[in-house]
Amino acid sequence: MRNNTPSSPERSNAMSAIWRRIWPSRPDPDKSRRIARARLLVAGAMATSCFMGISAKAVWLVSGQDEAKNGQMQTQANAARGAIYDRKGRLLASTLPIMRLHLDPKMVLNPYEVATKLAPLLPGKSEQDILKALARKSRYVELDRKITPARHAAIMQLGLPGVNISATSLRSYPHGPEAAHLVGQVDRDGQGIAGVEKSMQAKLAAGENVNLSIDLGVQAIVRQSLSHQIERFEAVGGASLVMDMKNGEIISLVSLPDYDPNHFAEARDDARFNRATKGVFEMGSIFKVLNTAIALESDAASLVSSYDVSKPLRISGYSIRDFHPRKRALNLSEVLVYSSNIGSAKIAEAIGPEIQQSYMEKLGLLNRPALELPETAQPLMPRKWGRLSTITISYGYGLSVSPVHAVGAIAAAAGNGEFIAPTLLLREPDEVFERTRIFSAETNRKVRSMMRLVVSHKDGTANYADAPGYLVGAKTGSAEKLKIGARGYNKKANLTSIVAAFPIHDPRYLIFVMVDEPKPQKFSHGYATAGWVAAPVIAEIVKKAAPVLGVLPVDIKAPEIRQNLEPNLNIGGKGAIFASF
Amino acid sequence: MMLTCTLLLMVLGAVLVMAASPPVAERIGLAEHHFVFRQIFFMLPALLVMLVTSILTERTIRILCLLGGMVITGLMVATLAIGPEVKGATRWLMLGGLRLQPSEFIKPILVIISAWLLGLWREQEGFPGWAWASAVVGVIVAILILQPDVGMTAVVVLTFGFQMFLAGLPLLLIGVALALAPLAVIMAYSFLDHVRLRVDKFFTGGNLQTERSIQSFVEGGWYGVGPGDGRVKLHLPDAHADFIFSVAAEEYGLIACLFLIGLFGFIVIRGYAQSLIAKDMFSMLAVSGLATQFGVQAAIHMASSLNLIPTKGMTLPFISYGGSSLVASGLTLGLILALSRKQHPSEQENFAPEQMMPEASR
Repeated sequence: MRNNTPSSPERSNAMSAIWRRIWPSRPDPDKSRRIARARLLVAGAMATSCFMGISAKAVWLVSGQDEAKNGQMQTQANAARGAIYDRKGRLLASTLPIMRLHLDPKMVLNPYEVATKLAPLLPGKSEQDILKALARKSRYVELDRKITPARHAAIMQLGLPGVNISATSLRSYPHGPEAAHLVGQVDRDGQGIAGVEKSMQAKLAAGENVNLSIDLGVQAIVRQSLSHQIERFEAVGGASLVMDMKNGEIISLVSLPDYDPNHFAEARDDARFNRATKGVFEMGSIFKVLNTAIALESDAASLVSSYDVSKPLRISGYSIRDFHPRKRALNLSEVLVYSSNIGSAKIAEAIGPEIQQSYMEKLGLLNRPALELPETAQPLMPRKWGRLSTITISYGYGLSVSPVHAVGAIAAAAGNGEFIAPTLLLREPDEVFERTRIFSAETNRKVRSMMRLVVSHKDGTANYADAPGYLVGAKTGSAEKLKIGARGYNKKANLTSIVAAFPIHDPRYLIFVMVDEPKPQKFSHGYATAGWVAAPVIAEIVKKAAPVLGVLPVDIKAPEIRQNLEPNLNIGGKGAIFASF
Repeated sequence: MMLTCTLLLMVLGAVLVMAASPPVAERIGLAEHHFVFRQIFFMLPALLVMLVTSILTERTIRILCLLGGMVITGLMVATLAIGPEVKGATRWLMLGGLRLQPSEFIKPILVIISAWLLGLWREQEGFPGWAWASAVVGVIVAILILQPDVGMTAVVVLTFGFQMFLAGLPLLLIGVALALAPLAVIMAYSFLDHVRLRVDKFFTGGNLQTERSIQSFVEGGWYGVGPGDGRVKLHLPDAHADFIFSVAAEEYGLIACLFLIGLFGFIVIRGYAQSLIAKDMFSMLAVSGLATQFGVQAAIHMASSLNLIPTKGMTLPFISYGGSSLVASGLTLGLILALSRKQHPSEQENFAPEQMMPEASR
């Protein structure tokens, strides 16, 4: 206390007055008791809130757990997720109940005891493996996903804390990579994240089965044939579609490289990509089928129309050339059979941009397809659909579409003239579905006959696509790929494709095959064009798949077949030639 | 009512020790039901102490507490010198085959003595009761810190603080005390290594014991996993003592926990209610002080198993295993019963505090 300076006696007095108030020398028991009672009430309130707080925390912890338990119940309900079958009832995806063995290292009392007792019960796991698993920081270390009932019982008998077995489910794809892209994938909670698993999620999650239009037999044939050709030509990948032109059912959908959906995590990004539905490409010359059909249907051309292809066509600073230049005028069928770019360009000029665009629209080439897959693509269209675009689109440049787009559109031109949106779901026998007539029977007959000549005529580009007795008609396309990250086209990176219909006199199936960036080979005499790369795949698929699909070989000279084809086609200026030869 | 609750707690304690202790016993190489038998064995002296104490007169209580306080303080000093060191602390005295923890008994006795001194301060002129009480508590706290026993220190200091608050400590000084409290916490943090460790772990979340304790609440859910099926007891070092609330949570569920919290809460509030109508300052301070001590100890035990505060090895009165704890809890409840029973008119005739302190009871 520094207040004992002589100058401040008042201050000293004031201090002691305050002190007396704080520490009264004369007690007042009644007042003290009143104060004590009041403060006791305060203390009571504090004690109550303290115990309430403890209760609240306990309730909070436990009710949080309830939600977690509900979550577990949900995953158990997923055990009943519906299966996916092909058109003949073969299983593509199903959910299996499995027992999973997992460790909680924190709950384990003696890691060595666990390791020595558990190792003999786990084939393929040594004591070291188990000790290593137990050294992990995680609270959940999976040791085995497939515990048999006998081992389950033996492990439970050990009574080791921290060694847990829980029932769970596994989405199994018995055919592995065969239909990987179209079946898709589920996440670890059993929810569809890709393919039919995602697009049919609501139905599958409700326990309903899904029957696809896919024929697993055809799928295997297509996958094997395409894969073989990709290997032979050292290509980067490929895609193939087989569609039933009568009802739009997709019989086969293959994208290569693919992956095993049972081990999805190990799949490369490239393998996960569905080229058949998600990739968009400039399809090249196979678009000439559409160009010819549109020209005939819109009366922009007839079988006798003639186009001078002797000189390259110059337009807006670009020069359009032919792969096999001919020094004369070609008729309409010759333009298709010889695959003349100049001829196609002249036909397109006669059609005009508006009519071409309206047909492309009706053929579904300008919109995302209504396919039952999440992996579909929006086409890449020219910003301004002018004269130049019309010309390039006529032979397949300037409009990028996915293979499933191309299949839907070309089926209308090569089939019976109706556009049917491709579907992956099996149609009911009496199902009524949307079909839009776009081409007349007359146009179809002419286009089909020309496609047959592409295969059967010695100057056609798809001779290797022929499968004797099955009357294959086709059109090849070898498109240069756009340079990546630069303007212009890469002359060395080709996209070879072919679209084929069979049997051409009464077309039922459309096959599309695409091989991406094939390399020229010695056995192909340095060629890596669609005629060499893609066409043989068609022949192989038709020969092997026709019996599976129930298509019988025919006598190609029979009169009922001739009736369905156009007799008045003139190829090579040597008079009328019949399409079936 | 209070007696019923207490007996209920003792029965629950026996049940929970039976659930929690066998794995602990097995782990340290004792017979499976070693702790169970001992707990039940100690229930007899605990009951005896409680019942005998509850019928004592206020005067006897004061005298016995004064004498007992001196003896036990002596024993506590002795533990520092000759007590065996267990887990880094010397809190125990070996007495035959029994391990006695004198500090458990000093807690209720200290409440009585400080209530006595503070009551005198408020009712007798010129007696600086606050200073005497602070001095006595200071000595005990010093011994406790030397043991060291931070949990017990906290209980003793909190209880004394409560008594001072009730005895009319000016709000200004309460403010100062609250301002100084963080200083005490910081000192404990910086000078006691294991306190620092626990506090660090509380904030960084690296405490395995707490995680397991929390896990037991989650596993138990509302209804528990069932008696004997709990797992937390296999991992918590002192499941039968410092984490018995977690065992209760896992095996018997949230409902049982809320019931336990309710019982402790009821005893505390009931003690407060009794002291509200107490006839003098001493009874009021003694009964509410004992109830507070009882409640603080239970609250610290439950709060640390719920990770609301840093872990503190603290027994749950009547429930946790521990002979000294059990008998001392019996003593606490006996004292509460005795001092709140004083309102009975027949006894007031028999007992005349005027004879001892004429000024105090006008």
